Amino acid sequence: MKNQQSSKLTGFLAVQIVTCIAFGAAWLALAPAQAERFAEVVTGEIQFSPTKIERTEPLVIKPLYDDPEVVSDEELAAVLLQVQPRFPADKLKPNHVEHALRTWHVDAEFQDPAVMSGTDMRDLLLDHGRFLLSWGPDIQPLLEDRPTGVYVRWGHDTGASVHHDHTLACLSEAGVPLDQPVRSPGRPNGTLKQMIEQAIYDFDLDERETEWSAMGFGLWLPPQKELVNGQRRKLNFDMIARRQMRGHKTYGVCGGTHRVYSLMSLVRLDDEFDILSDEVREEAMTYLRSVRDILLVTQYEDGHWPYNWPDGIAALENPEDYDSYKDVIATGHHLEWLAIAPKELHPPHEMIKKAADWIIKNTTSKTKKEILSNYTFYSHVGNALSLWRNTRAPVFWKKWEAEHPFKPAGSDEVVVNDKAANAESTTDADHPEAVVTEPKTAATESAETTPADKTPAASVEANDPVQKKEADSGELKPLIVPPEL
Amino acid sequence: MSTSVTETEVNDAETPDPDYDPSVADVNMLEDKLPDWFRTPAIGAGFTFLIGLTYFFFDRLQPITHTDVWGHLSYGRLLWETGTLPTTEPLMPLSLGMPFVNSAWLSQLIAYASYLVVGKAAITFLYAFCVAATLAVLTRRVYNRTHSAMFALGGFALTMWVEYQQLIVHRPQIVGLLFYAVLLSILLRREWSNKNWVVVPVMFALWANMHGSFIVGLGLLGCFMIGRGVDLVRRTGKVGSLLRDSKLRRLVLLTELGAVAALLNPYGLSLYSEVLSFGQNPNLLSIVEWQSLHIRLAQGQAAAVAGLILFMVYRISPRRVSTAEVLTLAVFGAAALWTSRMLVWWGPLAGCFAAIHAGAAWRKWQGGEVSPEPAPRASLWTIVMMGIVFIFFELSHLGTVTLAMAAGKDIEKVTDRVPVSRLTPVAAAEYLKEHPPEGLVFCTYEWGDYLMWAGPRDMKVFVASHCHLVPKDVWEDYMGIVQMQGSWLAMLKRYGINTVVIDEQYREPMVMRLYEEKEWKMLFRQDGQTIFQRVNPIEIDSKS
Repeated sequence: MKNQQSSKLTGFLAVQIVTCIAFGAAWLALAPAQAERFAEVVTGEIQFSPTKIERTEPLVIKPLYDDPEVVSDEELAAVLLQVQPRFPADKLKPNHVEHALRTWHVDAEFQDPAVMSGTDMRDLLLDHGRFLLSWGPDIQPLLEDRPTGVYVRWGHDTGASVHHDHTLACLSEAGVPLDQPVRSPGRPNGTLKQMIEQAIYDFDLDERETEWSAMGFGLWLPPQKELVNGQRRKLNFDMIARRQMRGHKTYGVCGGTHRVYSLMSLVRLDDEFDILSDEVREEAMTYLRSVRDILLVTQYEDGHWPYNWPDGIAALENPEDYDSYKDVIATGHHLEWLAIAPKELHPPHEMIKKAADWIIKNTTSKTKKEILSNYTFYSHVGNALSLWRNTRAPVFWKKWEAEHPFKPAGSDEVVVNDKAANAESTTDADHPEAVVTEPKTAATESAETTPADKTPAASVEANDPVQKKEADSGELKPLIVPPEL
Repeated sequence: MSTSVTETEVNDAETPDPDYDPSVADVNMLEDKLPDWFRTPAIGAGFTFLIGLTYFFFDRLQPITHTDVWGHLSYGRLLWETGTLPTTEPLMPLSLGMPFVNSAWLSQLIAYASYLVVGKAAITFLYAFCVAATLAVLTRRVYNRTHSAMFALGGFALTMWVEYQQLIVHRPQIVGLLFYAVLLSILLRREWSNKNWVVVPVMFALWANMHGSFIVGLGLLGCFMIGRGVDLVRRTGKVGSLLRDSKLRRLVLLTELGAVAALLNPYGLSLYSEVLSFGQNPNLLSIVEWQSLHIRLAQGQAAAVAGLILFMVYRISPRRVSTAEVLTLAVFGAAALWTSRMLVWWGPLAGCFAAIHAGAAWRKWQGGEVSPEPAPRASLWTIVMMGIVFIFFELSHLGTVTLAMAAGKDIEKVTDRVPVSRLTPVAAAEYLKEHPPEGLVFCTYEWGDYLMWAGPRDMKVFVASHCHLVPKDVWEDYMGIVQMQGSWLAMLKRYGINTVVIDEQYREPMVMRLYEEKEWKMLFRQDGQTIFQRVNPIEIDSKS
């Protein structure tokens, strides 16, 4: 009897040991991602190891041309003067700041005290304290602390960034480094790394707008080709590139032009880091050639490309009735991607020149008020034309101002046309006419710029740390309030 | 012991019988020389007939459904051809990269391998066999507990009624249900068999590779274990009694062994996290069978009636109600209320418990013995049972195919006659095979499986019934399109869709709208199946 009981106890204990060993071994056999998932299910708390970011500076996609025939120094100076970040200090729209930052970069400095510097713009986006100064305490913060990183509030709510990952893409294009402090409520010691990690966690390949996520990831992740999002979906740059090509070309922000720019960027990054498969690269090139072919048949006599360019020849034959600023969107954005595209993807040079002439005239003919009403679109013009001179807006402007010092001028009442300013947020939106033609106000004096290197050594490179040493001082400055306001 | 001639019969033989004719042989005088294990009671033949009818019904009269099964066959085909388990979703292009734990891989492989041999007859056989075997196991256990054919039949009927809506779809869950029935039968058995130490772990090892519902089996074991513990403490008032009870110890060990055995799968512990989190997938909220159980649903009405019957039976039952019964009914009932798909696990419990308690109440009311003598057993009934099984098998599709094979006939013609549900897009798939579409094809998730299976091999369906593998945003867009919400036509454009395959029965407004749209033309229409194509396909349009 005693023996029987003893053997039962032994059997019972043996099963306990076997169970512990089996589950222990099964746990040890799990891959790290599987172990995370298991822990997440068991604990009910998010367990997520973000994709490692191996670089400390974002990549820069260098422009390929220095073409004064497209835009002269004087013209560029006149355009850049128009698109200076001359924003009202109160309720400063993140969308405006982001656009200005990507055009002017974090090292931008202006002699005119009414214009925000690059660091001011960066800090408004990355420091909740700065954001509060502009928006007051009643607004929902732009930055939110999440278990998986720092989330940027986006959408059509007041004070939000309009597009998903637009903030990240702009900061990346502006050259903000990985360790840049990010101060969100609840996480005063975050860095840009946490913002990227949150972007990766939130990224959904099938969401409406993926253009900026593609840019952001493209500038930070290579030579890595893969990432895993919060749904634990394995993604790679092939999938992201194909996503840019999916569906009718008309769909996508700014008449579908941002998809083209992001795709072109990925192809350029592929030149350097081989992030795309041969098959997808060829698909991308075919797609970009098809865009080029459409541009060939859709340019108007005056040089602009219509907003409904994806309609092909029908866009010319049956012009759509839409707000004229949309032509600025189409033409400016096309010039932007063409500036980083190989010649194979260009329409004839004359067409590019005509487009540039049209957009320069259009931009320089606007009042500051009008520019501010459509700042987001005009900022692309400034960036596009800078790229065509193989320079960056802050570099050019610094030299320009050295020879043409700032002289305080008369004020120009600035009223933001909210609807027009946010028009990029939806491709289907119907926006009121916001552009009123007024006499030129831009500087038209001749100027010298440093001759740009016509044969860039490396088409894609990490940011030059020297250029942004001032920008990265990390010192928080008060917002500059334009005196004329 | 082994003789079939009883004492009464001998006594009767001594009395002159006016009808006695010495020239005619009295079969009652024959001795049953077959071994005891071969003998069965007459009631066994009756139940075999009932189960045979069930098999026949589900094999012959239930057409193959147009949804899951074709998706599972597609995965089976992929496994068969590649010999590897994909770690990310391999068949739906919009789900590329989504992590994929294929908890039904073995079922899919078996189904596809069987399909290769006997075509669609394999599917109907596997399906009908599992359903019939499930009901056979449960009915036998109820009969053993009640010794009443009437209540065994009652349990069968109640289980069948509650389960029917869950059983009409051909899917690997049916295998899970069979394992569940076997486990329940083991747990409801009065006597313990040492074979269970082998049967239960082996079953769990198979179950974990054939369907994710093995976790329900562990839940059932857990409920019985906890129930036993509670009963012990209630009866003895001592917690220490938990350590001395051999039945509780067995339940603990069985649960542990089952859980360990379930680790023997290609995903190991990951399978646990997959099945435990499966129900939380937000896409499932759009699927009726994953929504809460509602009285307006047929299965909701069946469950409500079963609940009422259980309530009444428990009121009049003289049997002690074990905590395990209450716990299992409550846990699985709550799960079914939460999501009606879980009703499939509650039905057998309701059927068995209601029949066992009703049988006990009936006996009490009749004043009969609690445990009547077992019914006489004879080899004759075993042979009758075998005959019944043979007849029903031969009547089934697989029987027809095997006969054709034996006769050297072309079995393809026979298997082609195996019916599929009228909602299956057979004609559309044939058309698409002859006219392969380019790019992504929009179809409803119900049709995605069949189109993947029978359409062109490289066909890119928008979604299929494995909707838990579809990215959240894609699924939301899919729902927006099928419900014709807002800019659904623009959504088709966004996805670059040039071909739409939909049914007229449930999507008539969509068919009508596309028919009226200038951008779309109807390419094909037959048997309620329509195919639309964009007049200017998107790629061509963009390049022009």
